[in-house]
Amino acid sequence: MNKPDVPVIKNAKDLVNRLAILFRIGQTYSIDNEVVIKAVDEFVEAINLVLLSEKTLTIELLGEYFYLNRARVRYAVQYYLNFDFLMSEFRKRGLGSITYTERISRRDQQDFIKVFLSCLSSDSPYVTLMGGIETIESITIGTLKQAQQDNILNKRQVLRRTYFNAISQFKAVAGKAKAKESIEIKKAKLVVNTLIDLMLQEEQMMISMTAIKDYDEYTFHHSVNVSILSLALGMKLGLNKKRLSELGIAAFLHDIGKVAIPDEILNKTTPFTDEEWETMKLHPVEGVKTILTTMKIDHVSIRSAVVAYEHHLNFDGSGYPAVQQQWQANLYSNIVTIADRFDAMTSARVYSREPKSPETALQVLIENAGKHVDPILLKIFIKMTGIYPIGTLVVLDTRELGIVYRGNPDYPERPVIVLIVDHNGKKVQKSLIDLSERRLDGNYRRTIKKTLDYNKYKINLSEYLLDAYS
Amino acid sequence: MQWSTTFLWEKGMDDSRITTARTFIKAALKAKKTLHIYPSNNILYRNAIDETFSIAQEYLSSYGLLVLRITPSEMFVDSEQVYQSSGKMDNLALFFFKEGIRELTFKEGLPKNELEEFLKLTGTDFDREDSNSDFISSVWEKGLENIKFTIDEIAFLEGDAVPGGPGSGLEGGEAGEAMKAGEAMKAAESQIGEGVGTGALFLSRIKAQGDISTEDVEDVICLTDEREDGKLLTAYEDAVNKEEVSPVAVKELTPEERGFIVAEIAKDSSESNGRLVEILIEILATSGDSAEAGVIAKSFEDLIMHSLRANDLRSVLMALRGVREIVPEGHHDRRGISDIQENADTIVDFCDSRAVIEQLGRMMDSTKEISEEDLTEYARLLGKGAVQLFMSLLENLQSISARRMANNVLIHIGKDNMEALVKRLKDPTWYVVRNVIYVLRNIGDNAVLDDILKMSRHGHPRVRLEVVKALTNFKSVKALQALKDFFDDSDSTVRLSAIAGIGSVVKESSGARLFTRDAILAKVKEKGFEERDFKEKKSFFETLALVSDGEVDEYMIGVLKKKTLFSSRKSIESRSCAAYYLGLAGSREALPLLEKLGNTSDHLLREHVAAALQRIKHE
Repeated sequence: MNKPDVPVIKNAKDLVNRLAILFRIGQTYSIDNEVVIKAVDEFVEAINLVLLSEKTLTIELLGEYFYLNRARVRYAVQYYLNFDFLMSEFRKRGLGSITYTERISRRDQQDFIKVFLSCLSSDSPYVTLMGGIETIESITIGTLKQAQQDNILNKRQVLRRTYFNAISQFKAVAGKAKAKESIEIKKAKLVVNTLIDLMLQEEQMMISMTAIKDYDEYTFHHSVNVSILSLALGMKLGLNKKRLSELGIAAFLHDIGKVAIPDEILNKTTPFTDEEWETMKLHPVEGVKTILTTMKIDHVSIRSAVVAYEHHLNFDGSGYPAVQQQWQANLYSNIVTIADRFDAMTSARVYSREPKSPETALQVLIENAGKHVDPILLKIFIKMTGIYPIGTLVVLDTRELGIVYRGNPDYPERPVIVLIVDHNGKKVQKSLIDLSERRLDGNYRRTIKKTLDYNKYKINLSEYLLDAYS
Repeated sequence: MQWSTTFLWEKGMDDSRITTARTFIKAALKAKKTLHIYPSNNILYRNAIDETFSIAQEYLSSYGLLVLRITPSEMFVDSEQVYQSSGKMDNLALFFFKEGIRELTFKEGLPKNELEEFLKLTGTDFDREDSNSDFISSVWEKGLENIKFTIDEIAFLEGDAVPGGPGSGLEGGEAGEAMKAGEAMKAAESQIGEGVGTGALFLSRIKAQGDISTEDVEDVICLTDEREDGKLLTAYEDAVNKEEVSPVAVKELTPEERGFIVAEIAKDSSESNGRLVEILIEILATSGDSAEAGVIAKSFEDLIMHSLRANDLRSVLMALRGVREIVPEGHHDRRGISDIQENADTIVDFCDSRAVIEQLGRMMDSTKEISEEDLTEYARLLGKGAVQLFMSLLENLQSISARRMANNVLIHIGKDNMEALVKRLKDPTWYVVRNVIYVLRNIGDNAVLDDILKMSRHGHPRVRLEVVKALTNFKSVKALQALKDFFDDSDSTVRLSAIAGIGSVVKESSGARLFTRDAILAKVKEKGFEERDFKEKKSFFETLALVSDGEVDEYMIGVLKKKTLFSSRKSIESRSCAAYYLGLAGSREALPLLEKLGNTSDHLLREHVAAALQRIKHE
């Protein structure tokens, strides 16, 4: 059988993304503009191709996700801005779904875009949209099923948007660094500053984003995670906004030297040879060179270069790169080192497929306090993450199962958890439980007895940490 | 009709709102320029702030919020245009737009200082080489509570070529900064990456196409509830059987640890440049190839310039010191040295380049405190060539303190290259010559006396004055003889300095007494000497008193006695000078005459006689 010729649409994410593009360029250009027509044609071709095997195709917005014929389309870094845009455009119109029921034409889709864009000026956009597309037989619409105005939901949306924004920015920076093009740090600064603003309000929520390790691209997520964890530690130290911004960017760029490491080594799935390790160990020096050759030299780039160089130097002077003199890493580097090691240990990397559970990672750091990491900063870090960091899968004395959702600085051993399995071993509706709650007799209602490694069970933390609010 | 009255009233209010918004932007634009030009204590500066603030208050107190929608050439309040400029210079809308700002909001309660900070930032040149920040970051760092902006993330994050995007207010086909046809598509498409997954809908099709593996597909599809449940239940079963583990302990910081971390934070902010210097030296010293060493050398150069711009001489010094350890001292032949050394040598060369020295000059001219010790060490590390460089620097320095500092450095390093210093005595600029003489004087090497003497006839009096000071310092007979030649200099300050200089030499060198006595005596006996200024004449007599003897005393008594019928002013001055000399010389022989003149009617003479009497009697 010959492959159908589908040059553009590769997958569900791509399809939703294309729809967003149609509306975006429709806002800028006339509907008959060649740019719009080209995009419409590609979209129509893809839809029609799908309709060859499926009777209908529904693109639906439910909560914060798009669904195609009830299968959720996963939120992806490369599409996040367009997804976000499309979500917002749907909501503005009270639109919940668009259904294609039969082969559509370019004109159908053009007319739809036209009405879609113009209906916003009416008092009831959805009603206007519905009236406007009455003559288009192949497209029907549905209303938005849930009210989306809830404050927490918005916060979560902003949080996720900021997180993905940061990843997208890091990808752009890494791409430029690899191509040895000049990098404008102010764009990264904007992202980091937004992270800081958000963390000043919702630190725990942002930290929870770092606990979700099921993303595809370790390096990009790792850089953002290290930035978030470093910022959280910096906040605990009382650094001001300007210095937090410097720290956030330095942490963001700590691994930038990896762009100089050959992909075949970075992506190697089997253990490294000695020679490959030696190459990997070059990334701190490469980081310095990358930063200094692609960025304007200023206070921020200098601090970033220092952190890039020092983040694998141990507290006792061991580690790499080998230095000729007595070396004491600076404060930012010591902060980033802890964040880096914690996130690396708890993540599945290409060359280390078995991540440690958060509390095991803490245990390893504690064992190496004073040798590999700064013992004082580590104390503060543990106080910040709690002894059961966010994302830890815990077993309670009530024989219930939960995931740590938020730390409790006053009672580190009693965080807030998302309860996921009841005492009968049955999955329950997700609910938040504060483990510092007591019964009338003064005893605690629930206490953590054991921890489990969520990675072992491939539990999708995002399902619990992000959705626990709704 | 009620409705129309309401409508008209609202319309009237709207008109006033738009007018006030326009006035505010006009005032802000004016203030932006004024704040850039004048210091904050200037009346024009204060007026600009006051005026803008008063208009802002007028608007905000009536309408609560001022929300400006920004396009590259316009600003709108709602749909009303309140600002328009198609230019690229001084276009406030374009300034904000290029920063990615699409909406700017001023809130009620905006304090004056916040508005001032904001306006100052709009006038700041963030494109300057030494700028460490940008507009958005600076506003953010200031934490302005009542001024907020919305940024078009797509325009801002997607790259420099995409000023448009949803909500940007740009229409297709708009000229100038607007997005060109096709770029919108490109911008939107830049969201598209190489996705590998699909929804369940496409699963069968993709499998058939063989584009991606099942594993990839599963990775991106939302897990079904059944699968998730299965995993949870496995986890639950494991949990029941798992042994309990004790959690890690959370320990509080001790007071010592708190103190240590506070000190670390305080120390940390100032050490980055120096730390990067250490890092670059480490990398340079171990660099594997010439390309790497070259990159590091270039980075060093950038860092040196950055540090100088930040008045951080210490880091530059660290760099030079570190690199000097890599480069063999005094080598000039590059043959046979390694890539590392060659690049280290390049850095040393850069340190005495014109660009660096000029920047060093700007730093010295700034008001920031610089350690003279560091500057001297820097110069020393540059080697012999530093004298020449610092001489050039001296030519261009603006402030007195900077010139003094450069001179002091030259005094320290000049000995190593006297030749270069002497050469600059021929400089056409008078103050360069004067500075060279100053430096030579302080170095105090008699070998250059002849070179200095050649400047005795220099056209500028301040150069000659410096020569006199130098000759005084050298204290040799030759210098003394040369000083005598300045008795008739055309400039009185030079003459005074010469006679004072001779006095200072005589005090320390008894061998010069006779020469001095004869030279001064001859001068005061000259016909025209009487015509000189009284203060100058006195200084000659004062020095003469240092080498007094009976012969001179006798001459002075003669001058004092010389009474004429119609005493001229000059004659009185000469007699007063003689009395002054006799007093200083302690001439007891002159006592009877002095006592006799004690009640003389001339005030000047009486005063000097009285002083002389007192001095002799109390000696």
